[in-house]
Amino acid sequence: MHSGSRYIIATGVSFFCIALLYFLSLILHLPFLITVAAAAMGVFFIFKWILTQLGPADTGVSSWWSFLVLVVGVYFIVTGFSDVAEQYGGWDAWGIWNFHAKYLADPVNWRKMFENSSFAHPDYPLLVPAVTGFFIRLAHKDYLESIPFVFHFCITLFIPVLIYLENLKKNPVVAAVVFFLFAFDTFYLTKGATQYADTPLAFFFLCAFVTINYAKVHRGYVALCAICLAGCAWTKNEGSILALVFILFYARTFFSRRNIGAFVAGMAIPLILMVIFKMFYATGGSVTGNFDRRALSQLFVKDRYDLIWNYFKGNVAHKYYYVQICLFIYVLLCVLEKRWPGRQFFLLLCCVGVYTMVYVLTPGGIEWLLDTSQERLMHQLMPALMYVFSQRFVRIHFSLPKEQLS
Amino acid sequence: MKGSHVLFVLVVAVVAATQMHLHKKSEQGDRITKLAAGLEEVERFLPPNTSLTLKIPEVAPPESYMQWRFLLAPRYCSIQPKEHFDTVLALLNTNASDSAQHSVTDGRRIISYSTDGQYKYYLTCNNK
Repeated sequence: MHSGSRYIIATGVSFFCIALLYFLSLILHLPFLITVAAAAMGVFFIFKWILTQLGPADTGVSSWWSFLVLVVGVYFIVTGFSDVAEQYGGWDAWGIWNFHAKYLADPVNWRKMFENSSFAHPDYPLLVPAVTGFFIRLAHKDYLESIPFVFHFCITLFIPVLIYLENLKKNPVVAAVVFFLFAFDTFYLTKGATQYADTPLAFFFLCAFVTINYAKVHRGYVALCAICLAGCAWTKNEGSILALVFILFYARTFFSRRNIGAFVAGMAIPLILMVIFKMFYATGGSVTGNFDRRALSQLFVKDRYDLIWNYFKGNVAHKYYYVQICLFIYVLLCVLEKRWPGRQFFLLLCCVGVYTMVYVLTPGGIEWLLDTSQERLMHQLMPALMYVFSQRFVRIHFSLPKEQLS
Repeated sequence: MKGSHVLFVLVVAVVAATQMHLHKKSEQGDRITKLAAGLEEVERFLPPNTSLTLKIPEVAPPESYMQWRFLLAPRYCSIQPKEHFDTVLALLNTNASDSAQHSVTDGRRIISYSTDGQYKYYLTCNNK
């Protein structure tokens, strides 16, 4: 793994660690000073572990060219993100995520958050509100506007840079092309700038894909993958579904005698805290919690499938046009190479299928739900999908002279 | 390319983006900032553990309730007719009629009154 990727994943895991510690400190009424000290120690050990204990890191192609691409791409992300960012984020930012963060920043009254039953979804997982709540409390409530911005900008930036670094060693040209696709993707940047939890979920899901590919190198990557999957579940309720599908696809890896200890070590604490949160604090209320017998009869209503498919086609055509092109090239390569698509591709396909079934089984009309959420669900999967595509594309070798790359 | 170089670029990017964001003005940001300024006076009388009923103008934009609720957090603000709290924060348009003002203050003790040019803020409680 590229050493830069390790920094990125370590930062993401550190955010997760801070969220867990902060939630724990709230339920145990710990003094904030102890929480800050524990968080600082946690971050220190996470960085030390990821940077030094997971075997030697590589540095990819050592050239001014690759660094220049990084700088230029990051420049476009910074300017593009700033152009589309609202001061307080989108509707759900002040309606849900940053609203929850304001409660969590108050150690005495944070439980009042659960009284908000209308339009506030207090059952939503706490990773994003806990991280921002922690930093708002650490700084001051005057920074309510900038702290969520910094967090979401980091995550939006990390995703393309992580994919770039992971592709860099194998094929710098493909790495650069994929990186610039993200950098110029206004829709992707807009979704990041809304300060919703979809981009952090996409980030943790992507990290799970990246780390599992190193499972054979070191057992620690299995633990890291488990942490990232737990991070998905702690970010959004859909994250639990994604994590479950991922675990099923990699069950043989996770539950092998070599890896099961690492998997449990990575998953156990976040899972215990999640159970505590769901059982004692968050009450039901999600769409999937409202299923009844009638919902099952919807499985056979063709119109629902047509509606979902039409929205899906529309979203792909207007918001994920380059993913469509990449999918076409990916399938073409599979045909030309006479090889099946990889396991990770089928995993993502399965996630799309599961999301579709959630829509099918949702009681009542789904048009409004599709209109407001389908593009975001696709956004959650898109970075991992682009990573999977690019991992296949890097096998294409362009005949660039070596001196151009050095 | 070393990891430290990547880290350096990322840190510079975060600092630059934050600087740009802090100096950026937007219509939505201005609106929420304006609402926050309007609530400043009222907030002095509302401890963080308060639960209150929020009465908002019927003609207010649909997102207003959520924005006021966001700004007043960690207090609990309810617009549910079923929930009755002793403390009521009534917001009226500045051009609201006298009868509308009377309806929110009649028989109640006014704790605070302020206006920000867009809304009038009446914080009241039971007279008992």
